[in-house]
Amino acid sequence: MKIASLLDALDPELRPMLTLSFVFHIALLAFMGIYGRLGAREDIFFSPVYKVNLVSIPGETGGGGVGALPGSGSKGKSVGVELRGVEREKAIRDALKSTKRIVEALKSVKGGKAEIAGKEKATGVTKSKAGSSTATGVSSSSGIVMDPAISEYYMKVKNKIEEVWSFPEGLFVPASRWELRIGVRIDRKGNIEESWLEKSSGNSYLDRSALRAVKKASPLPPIPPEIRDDPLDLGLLFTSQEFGR
Amino acid sequence: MKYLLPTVFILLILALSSVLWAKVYITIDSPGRSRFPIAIPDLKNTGIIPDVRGYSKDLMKAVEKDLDLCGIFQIIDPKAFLEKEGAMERDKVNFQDWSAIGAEGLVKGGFALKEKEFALDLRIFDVIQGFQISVMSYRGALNNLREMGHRVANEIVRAFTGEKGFFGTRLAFISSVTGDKEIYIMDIDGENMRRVTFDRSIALSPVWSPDGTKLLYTSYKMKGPHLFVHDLNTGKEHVISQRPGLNIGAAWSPDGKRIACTLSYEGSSEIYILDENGGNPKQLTRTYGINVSPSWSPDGSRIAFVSDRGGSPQIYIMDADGKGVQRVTFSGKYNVSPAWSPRGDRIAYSGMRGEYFNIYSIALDGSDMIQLTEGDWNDEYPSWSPEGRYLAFSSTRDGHPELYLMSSNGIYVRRLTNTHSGVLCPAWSPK
Repeated sequence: MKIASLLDALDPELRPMLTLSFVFHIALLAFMGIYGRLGAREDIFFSPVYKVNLVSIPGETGGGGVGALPGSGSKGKSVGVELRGVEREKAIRDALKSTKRIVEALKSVKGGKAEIAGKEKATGVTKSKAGSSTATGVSSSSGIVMDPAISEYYMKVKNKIEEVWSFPEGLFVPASRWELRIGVRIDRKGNIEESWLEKSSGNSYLDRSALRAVKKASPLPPIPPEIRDDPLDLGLLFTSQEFGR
Repeated sequence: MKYLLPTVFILLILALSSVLWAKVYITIDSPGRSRFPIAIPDLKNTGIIPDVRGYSKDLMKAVEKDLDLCGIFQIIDPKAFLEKEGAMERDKVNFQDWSAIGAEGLVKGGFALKEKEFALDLRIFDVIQGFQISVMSYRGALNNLREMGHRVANEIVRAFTGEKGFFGTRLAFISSVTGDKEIYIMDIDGENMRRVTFDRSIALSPVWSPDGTKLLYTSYKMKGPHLFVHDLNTGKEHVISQRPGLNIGAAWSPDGKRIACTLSYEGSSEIYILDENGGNPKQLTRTYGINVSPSWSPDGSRIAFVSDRGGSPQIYIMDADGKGVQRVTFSGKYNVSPAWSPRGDRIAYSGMRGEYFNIYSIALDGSDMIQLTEGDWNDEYPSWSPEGRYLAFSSTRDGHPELYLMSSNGIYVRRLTNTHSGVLCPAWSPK
C-alpha cells in the first residue's frame, strides 16, 4: 500500500483534500469515458478498395492501377482488403463503371469549368458532406491493419446483404446523396438477433428498403473464431456513393 | 482507505475502454437487385355474384402493366405462389410463405360486383417486416376499371416510395404517320391513342393547360406559324396569336392565366407574355437575337428560355417580368428545349455535342450538370412527369424517332411508342 503510506507521510490537514481531488479527477475521466462511448467515439469503416486501370481490365497482372476510389466518404478510418475470386469479378465490374465515369470526367474537362464542377460532384470523387478521409490501399491511411479472417468475414456479410438488397436505382432524384446506418446484433451462428436504425437517411422508405435487406440476409455466415464477441454488434453503412449519377 | 485502490482501478479501466472501443461499419453500396419484388395474388370474390374473375383480372392487368412500366417493381410469377387467395387480414397473412418466394411487397384484396358497380378492398403489406403499409377501398362503375387500376398502382408506388406514381397521366405528341405533322394524345401506358388535329399541315410544340383539358400548340395551317388552343372535351379550336412574323413555342403559366411565347411582330424574335386569350402582349426580352422556348418555373415566378445572345443557343432563366436574367448553361455550343422540373430545382434540356443531341439536367445556378443520355443518335424534347421523377423524350436510337421514358437520373429507360413513322415533342399532362 504505497499510496496509503505516501498519504500517511503528508500533512494530516492536506490529506482529505488531496484524496478528494484525486478521486474527483479519476471520476471525471471515467465520466468522459462513459459518455465518449455514446458520442465522440471514432468509427471504423470497412469497404473494399477497387483499383482502376484505364488501359485494360484490372485482373491477372494486377500492377499498373491508376488511382483508387474513395473507400468511404464518411468520418473515421477506412479499412481496405484485397479481393479474390468472386469478389474480384465484382470489383472488375465496379472498376469498369468507375473507369467510364473517369473517362466521362476527362471528357468534360474539355467542356469547360462549369461542367468540371458538375462532373466531380456526379462521380463522387469529391468529399461527401460529412467526408474527410479516403482509403488508399490495403491498409488504411491511419495504419489499422485488419486480420484477414476478420476482413473476409466482413466481406461475406457485405456480399450477403448487397445480394438481397432491392433498390430501384432510377427512383431517386439526380445528385441526391444519402447515407443511413443500421446496427445489427449477430449470434455465433450468424443469425441476426436484432437490427435497428441508428441514423435515418431522411427518407423513411429508403430506410425501410435497407432494413428489409438486413432481415432478408439473415442468417449471415457464422462468426469466425478470430472474432470473440458473443453476440457481435456490427454497424452497416448504406450509401448511394456507388450508383449516384 | 482500503477501497481507494480498487475504485481507482475500475474507474481507470472505464476511462480507457472508450479509447479502445470503436464500432466497425460495413459499407453497403452496391444493391443486387434493381426492383422491389412484389406478389399480387388474384383478388378474392367477396360479393354474392359468383363470376367476377373477368373484371377483377382486367383491373389487375392494368395495375401490373403500370407497375412494370415505372421500373420500380418486379412482379413475381403467380406460379411460384404457395397460396392462391387466402385471407387479407394482417394477422392471418402467412408472411413467411411470401418471403420464401422472394416477395418484399404483397398486395391482397377483395372484389365484389353489384349490378353495374364494383367494390374493391386492397391491402398492401411489407412482407419482410410483417406489417400493413396501406389500406384502400374503392367503389366505381364497371366501365371505369382501367382508371381504378391506375389509382391502385399509384397507391402501391406510394406505399413503397413515399410518392405516388404517374399512372393515369397522358402524353401529347406530334406524329407524322399521315405524312403531315399532327397532334396525338395517348395514355402513358400506350393505350387510347387518338389523333387530335386534322389540319394536314405542320403542328409543333403542344403543351397542356394546367387543368389538363386543353392543348396549346404552334401550327402552319394558316401559313403562320401561329398559336392555337384545342379544347380536348369539345374539339373546338381558337387562335391565340396570329401576329405578323413568328408566333411560336408557347407555354401556359402554372395558374393558366398567362401564356409565354415567342413573337417577332416588332422585329427580332423575343419572348412575350400574353393573357389567356392572347391579348395584352408584354415584351420580356430585348436582345435583337433569338429568344425562344419559354418554360415556367412551377411557382410561376420565373421563366427558362433559349437565347443566342452569348453567340450560341444557351439556356437562360429570368423573372416573369423579364428582369434578373441569368445564364444557366455554359458547356456545349447548342443547348435547347429547356423544361423546368415540377420540383423546381432543376432544368432538363437537350444539348448537342459533336453531331448528336443528348438530354442533360442542370441545377438552376448552372452547377451539377448531369448527362442523362449518351449515344450516337438524337435524344430531344425532354418533358417532366407531373411528380418530377421521370422524363419523356423523343429518341432516334432505334431508327425512327420514337417516345421514351426515363428516370430523372437517366438510369432507367423504357420505350413507349412503336409507330415506325416519327414521333416528336412529347408533352406530359399535368394530371
